[in-house]
Amino acid sequence: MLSAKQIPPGESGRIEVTINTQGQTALHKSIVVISNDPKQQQITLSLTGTVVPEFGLSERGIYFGSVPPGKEVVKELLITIPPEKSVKVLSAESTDQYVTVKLEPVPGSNGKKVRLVATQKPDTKAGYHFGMVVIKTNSTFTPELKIPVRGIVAAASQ
Amino acid sequence: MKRLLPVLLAILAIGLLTAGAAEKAPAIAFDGIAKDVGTVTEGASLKHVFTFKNKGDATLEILKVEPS
Repeated sequence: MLSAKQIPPGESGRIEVTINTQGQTALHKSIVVISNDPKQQQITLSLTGTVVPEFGLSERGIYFGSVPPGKEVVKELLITIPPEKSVKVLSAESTDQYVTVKLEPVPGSNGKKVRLVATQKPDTKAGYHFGMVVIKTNSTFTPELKIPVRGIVAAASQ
Repeated sequence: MKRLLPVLLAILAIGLLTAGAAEKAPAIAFDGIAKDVGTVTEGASLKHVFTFKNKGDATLEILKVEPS
């Protein structure tokens, strides 16, 4: 946003830049300013930075691997909250009917580390299955975390 | 040398007249054109103000501000 299009000699102007960091991991914004200055008609302004998530995940997804039928598989994922953040993890559920999930606060972490334990049920039918683990939080910026889950159960041998 | 003097004076006069007739022009000067905001938390709305001054002697016109 520009404060004024015409600036008299000796006066100052402002260009206000607002960026929404949602869904970004790195910040690199360029703004091209074109003016009637004969010596520099075009100037490029740049805004850079690093965007860190409110909730750090030890893995981007959960893969149970390829397992024989009837076998239960347990996988864990660690959710880390930066010390300066007061956000909390509230609940977790799986959209994959063959996967159950539970949250376990890591002892001594003062709520800043939470373990997500995902279990692929032993009665999972043969074939490929996938879904999402949806974690609810009290953060206004990140109300939900979605983690893909998938696995393969080999067909029973004859 | 006496013959050269009028020629040199003429050159000097032309130079001075040309300088006097130079057009006034604006000159844009930013306090800074690059800003590193460091580390920000995802989801936060980030705001930064770039300030500039017209250091020329004619009105500066901002014709376009285009984010990439």
